[in-house]
Parts: sequence; C-alpha cells; structure tokens
Amino acid sequence: MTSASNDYLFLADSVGKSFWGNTVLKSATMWARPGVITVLFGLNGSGKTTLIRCALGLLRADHGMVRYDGRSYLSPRLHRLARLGVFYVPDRGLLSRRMRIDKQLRLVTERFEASDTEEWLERLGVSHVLRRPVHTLSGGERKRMELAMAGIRNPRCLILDEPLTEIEPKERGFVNGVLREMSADGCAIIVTGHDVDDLMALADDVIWVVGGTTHGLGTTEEAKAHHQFRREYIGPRGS
Amino acid sequence: MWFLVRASLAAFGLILPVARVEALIVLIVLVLLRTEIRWSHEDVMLGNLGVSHLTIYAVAAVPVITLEITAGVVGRLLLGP
Repeated sequence: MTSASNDYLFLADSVGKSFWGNTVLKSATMWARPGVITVLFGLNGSGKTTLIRCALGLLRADHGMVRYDGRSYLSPRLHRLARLGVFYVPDRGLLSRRMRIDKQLRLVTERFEASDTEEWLERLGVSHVLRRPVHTLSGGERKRMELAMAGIRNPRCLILDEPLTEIEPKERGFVNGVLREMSADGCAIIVTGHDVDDLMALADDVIWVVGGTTHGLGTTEEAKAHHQFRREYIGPRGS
Repeated sequence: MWFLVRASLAAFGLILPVARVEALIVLIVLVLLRTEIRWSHEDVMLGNLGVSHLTIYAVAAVPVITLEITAGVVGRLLLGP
C-alpha cells in the first residue's frame, strides 16, 4: 500500500502490534474510502481484528498512526472517532446484555437524533425483538439488530468485524444489499470475514492480511487474479 | 487515567478517614470494573456513542468511592479514631 492519499476517509497506516513478544502485526495498513466497501481477508489469527482494534484505539498499537477525515491521530480513541462519524460493530457483539434492546436503541437514536429508527428496524426485520433480553436473540437476529443500529447511526465510516458469521446463508445477500445501499449513500465501509463468495460479491476493494502485514489487492477481479492470494487463501474454488 | 486513580486514592488516605486497606479495596473494585467493562464489550457500545473510557470508569467509580467514604466515616464514628 502506498502512503496516504486524500480520498481516504479513514487510514490506519503501518500499524504494528505484539502481545508478550509474539508479533501479530509488523506493519499493516487498512483504509476506507467514501462510497467504497473494503474487505479485509485473512486467515484466523492473521491479525484482522487486532488491526481494527488498534486503528480504533481499543488496543494500543506499538507503532503506526491513524488518519481520519484529514486529521492525524498517533493515539486514536474510539469515542473521538465516533463523534466524527465512525461506527464499529465488533465480531463478539455490540449489544450489552445488561440492558433491554429498546433502551440501547434509544441511546443511539437520541444521541444522534435519528428519525428513521422504525424504518431501519422494519427493514432488518428486528422490530419484534425490541423488548427481549439480548441473550434470547439468535446470532442472526443480533447481527441484524447491530446492523440496524449502525444504519440508525448513519455513520460516515462503518467498520464491521465478521458481520456475516452468524447470518443464515440465504440472508447474506440481503445483508450485503443493505451494506451496498449504505455505501451508495457515501458511507466508507470496512468489512472482515471468511465468507469468500459473499464478501467477494460485496467488495469494491480487497486487502489481504498475511504474515503480519497487508497487501492491497485492488478490485475483486484483481484479487482473484493474484496468484499468491488464490493459492494461500481462496483455494481452488475461487477460480 | 491510573495516575488520577492513584492520586485520588492517596488523597483519600491523607484527607478523608479512609484507611489504606479501604483505599486498596477501592482500587481492586476499580480494576474489576475496568475488566468487566472491557470483557462485556460495553466500552465499544459506549465508545460508539462518543463516551470516553475515562467517563465510563469515573461514573462506575462514583458509587464505589461514595460507599467507601461513607463506610469509613461511619466506622470512625462508631469505633472512634
């Protein structure tokens, strides 16, 4: 990846992170551009989540910097970036188990003065779960609720860590459609995951996390044509 | 953040009738709160709302510290200095 360019809304550049002497990221870079869906691919343990958490300040990076909306951050913090339009949906779930969903939703709605809450809930098919405790939701319902929450927030930059993991295969196209519409509205989106077919169908731009670093592979066609990526990640079915 | 916590605890020991053991209890409770918030990922939800870690821990610490101070004062009143 070449250095910062002006069309990046979000850029985490040359991020390094070690845990107790075990280097997970040597120098990794990820970016998000308005109206573009960037997909981070990588094997389990390759450092995708670590990269995201460092970029958002949820983990302290050993080195690297973040640039968001023209400003540089050596020590980024999620709450500061969130005030400027970033919304992060982690892989382990966003919803608190201590509060009913409608109360959590009200926090987002009131904080960001959203007016289309009902519309998003209807659209994602989660209007009926509002009064249920979080732990009674299925994985798919929880993911769809988190996506609805992201939509209600109407972020400038949306970062989703493995959003399709617990979504039924038949619903993944629908979720992809929602993300595609958000992207068409100008949202810069970063997605990670392992569902190659679904994510390749979604991606405009592909980043491969491997060996503690990242490779910007370009479009899905370019990524599929990348010999090493095909051999080491996609496998024979990605032809 | 931790400097502030340590400074606050030192101030308790000097100014308020809270013993070092009680100050240690406050510190342990704060660490547990921090761990609990991190593990439950509520820091991510609150971060998305623009709420800083410092605010989360400060708000979480208020009832603990208040309780400790109250216990310290009542203890001194009942048991003497």
